[in-house]
Amino acid sequence: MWRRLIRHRYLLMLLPAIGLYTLFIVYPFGVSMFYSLTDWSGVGAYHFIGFTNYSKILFTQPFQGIFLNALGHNFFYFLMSTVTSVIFGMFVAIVLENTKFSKIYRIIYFLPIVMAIIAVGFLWNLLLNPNWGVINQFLNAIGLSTLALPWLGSMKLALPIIILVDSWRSAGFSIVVFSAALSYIPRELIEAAHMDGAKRFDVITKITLPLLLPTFFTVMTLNFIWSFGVFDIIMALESIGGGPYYSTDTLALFFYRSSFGYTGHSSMGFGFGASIATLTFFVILIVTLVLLMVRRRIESRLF
Amino acid sequence: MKVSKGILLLVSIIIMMIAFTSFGKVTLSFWVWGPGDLASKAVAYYNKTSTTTVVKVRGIVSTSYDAALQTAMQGGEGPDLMLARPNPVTAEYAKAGMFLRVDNLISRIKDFPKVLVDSVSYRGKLYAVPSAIQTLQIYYNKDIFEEYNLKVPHTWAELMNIAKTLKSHGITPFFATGKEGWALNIIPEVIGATYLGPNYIKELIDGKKSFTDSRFVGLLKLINSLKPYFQKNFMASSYADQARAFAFGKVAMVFDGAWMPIYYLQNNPNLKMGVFPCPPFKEGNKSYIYIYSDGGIAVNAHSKHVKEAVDFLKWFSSVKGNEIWSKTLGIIPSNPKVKVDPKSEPYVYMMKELLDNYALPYTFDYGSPFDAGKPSITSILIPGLQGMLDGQITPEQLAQQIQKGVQQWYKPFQK
Repeated sequence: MWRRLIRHRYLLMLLPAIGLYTLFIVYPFGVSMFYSLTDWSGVGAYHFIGFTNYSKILFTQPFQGIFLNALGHNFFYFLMSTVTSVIFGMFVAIVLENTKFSKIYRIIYFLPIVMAIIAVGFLWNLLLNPNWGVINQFLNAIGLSTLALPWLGSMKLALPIIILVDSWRSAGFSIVVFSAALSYIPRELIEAAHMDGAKRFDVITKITLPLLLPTFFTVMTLNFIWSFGVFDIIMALESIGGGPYYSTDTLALFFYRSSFGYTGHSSMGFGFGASIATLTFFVILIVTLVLLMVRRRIESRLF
Repeated sequence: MKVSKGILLLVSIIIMMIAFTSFGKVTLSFWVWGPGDLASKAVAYYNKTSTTTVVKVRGIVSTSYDAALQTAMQGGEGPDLMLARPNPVTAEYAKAGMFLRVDNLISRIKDFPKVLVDSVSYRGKLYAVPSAIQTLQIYYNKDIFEEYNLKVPHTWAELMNIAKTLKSHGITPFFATGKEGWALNIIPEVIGATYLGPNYIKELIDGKKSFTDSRFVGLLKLINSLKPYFQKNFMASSYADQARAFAFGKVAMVFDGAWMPIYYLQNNPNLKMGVFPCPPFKEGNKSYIYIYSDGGIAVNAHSKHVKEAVDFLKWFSSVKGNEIWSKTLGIIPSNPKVKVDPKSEPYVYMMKELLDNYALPYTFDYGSPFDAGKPSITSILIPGLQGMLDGQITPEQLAQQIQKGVQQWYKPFQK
């Protein structure tokens, strides 16, 4: 018996980590799924009500509309931020690759991530203020007052603006990661390509980008997780309501608003909120599996 | 040896006595929404006079207050005293046994108005001492009005003329907080109090009328008609922007509540303000203002110092304590026996006058019977107003959304 234990002692070493994981992730998750089947308000007693919460969210108005609207915004957030943060970061990293002072630029681009997100939200709220913010004042001063729009108050512009502010902050992460990945591309490959007469553009498209693909998928997956859980930047810029008129609403905001309430909204209860959280989990699970399948297909074709 | 032993004993007795007296005072935690600076000032008066208790105020941002309090109370870490939102929130805590029943402990409760007492009661028993009654009205900048020879309007047509005159001179007539829905919701409450009137509202509450009637839709259309008189880019303005704009004379009139003047004056002590209710639409009809209970102060039933907490509430409900609280916070006192002095508190006096003369006996928006279920009227109207003012939905569509949402649970609509 002892021999078995010593041979599989790695399992014993895993126990603390498994213990912590179970206590802080698996257990709350299980409890949350349990509460989603009750009518718990968050305070006091609860009663088991089966799948009532789920059917309310998925099949009755106004919740179905709000849920699908928020889900759509999460997808939009993911797609747009992939372009403005991940792809943009990759592009900047390639441009910076052999530039002078590239290290200093990378530090400057990375700095916003160190800022607390609430501070970022507060700062950009001031900059984007429709009448007194620096951006609109500048546009008015140079004669472009038709472009001095109510940025965070326009239903069409609010979410893209929030994504751009978030990209301002998170592009630095992509830049640093892609710069590191670029440094792993062997110089000999590029020199060989030059000797064969390849132009810079061909080097980038035929060598650099394919070799960056694994990194791209990794960063995109991280971006996906972030986009589907995004909460704090929107709360800082627009408040929990996901306004104006739900145009910046996301699943996490819907969850928080339903669980805790909000000025002028009473809460729907923790049971209801837990069911939103569980639905979000399943959405993320399905999309992640799809992404993994796509990644495997593309990588098997290239390598 | 004996002498030093004696000195040691004496010193330790003195230390214990000092320790005993400084630990003798009980510290109560008191959570409030808002910055808490004024509440701290008010509570300091109680701390000075009390030999047993020190009350410490903690202010939490109003939009996060409910979440923070709920998390703390559920986790058993709640404060001894706290501001409680009016029903249905207080009822939830009372049902869960988290608030202490107080009507059997505080006799002065019989002086408080029924509408306030009901808003923090559950099944006929009281669970918080009402702390504020809020009124919603139009504030105007007296200097701007004087400069353009404008007088307080007695009809809606006069108000629109004032707005047109101001606009023609390049002054922003009204402010709208497009980005902050709860504050935007003050506009239908202020205008609706007069435009809908108590008779229509009572019929609405009884289910004899519905939100899709031309009367309620008319209210929404009226709000749309004010768009040309709002500030530029109003859809992105916040409540803080409104406070700054009004305090510094950048806007002539705002729709705001009784809690605000003290903050306007903090920003600009030279500001001269006046108030008026939404004027009637026909000359000679009555004006009304929207009033609602802003909750009360509750005692945590699981507090370790229930007796001291109840003592604080007894002070708070007395005329002296209530006066100190309302004077420091610059709000209308919840105990009607407290007198408001027109000289030292001109703005509170103005608002108390409005309260005494124009109070709407019913509510139809925040704090109304339509706000008690899910989805509540405020959860539909607040984002809906933003959508309507942005041109995404029509007033008719918004009214339909409200009716369909509230009808799902509001029994009088289900006949």
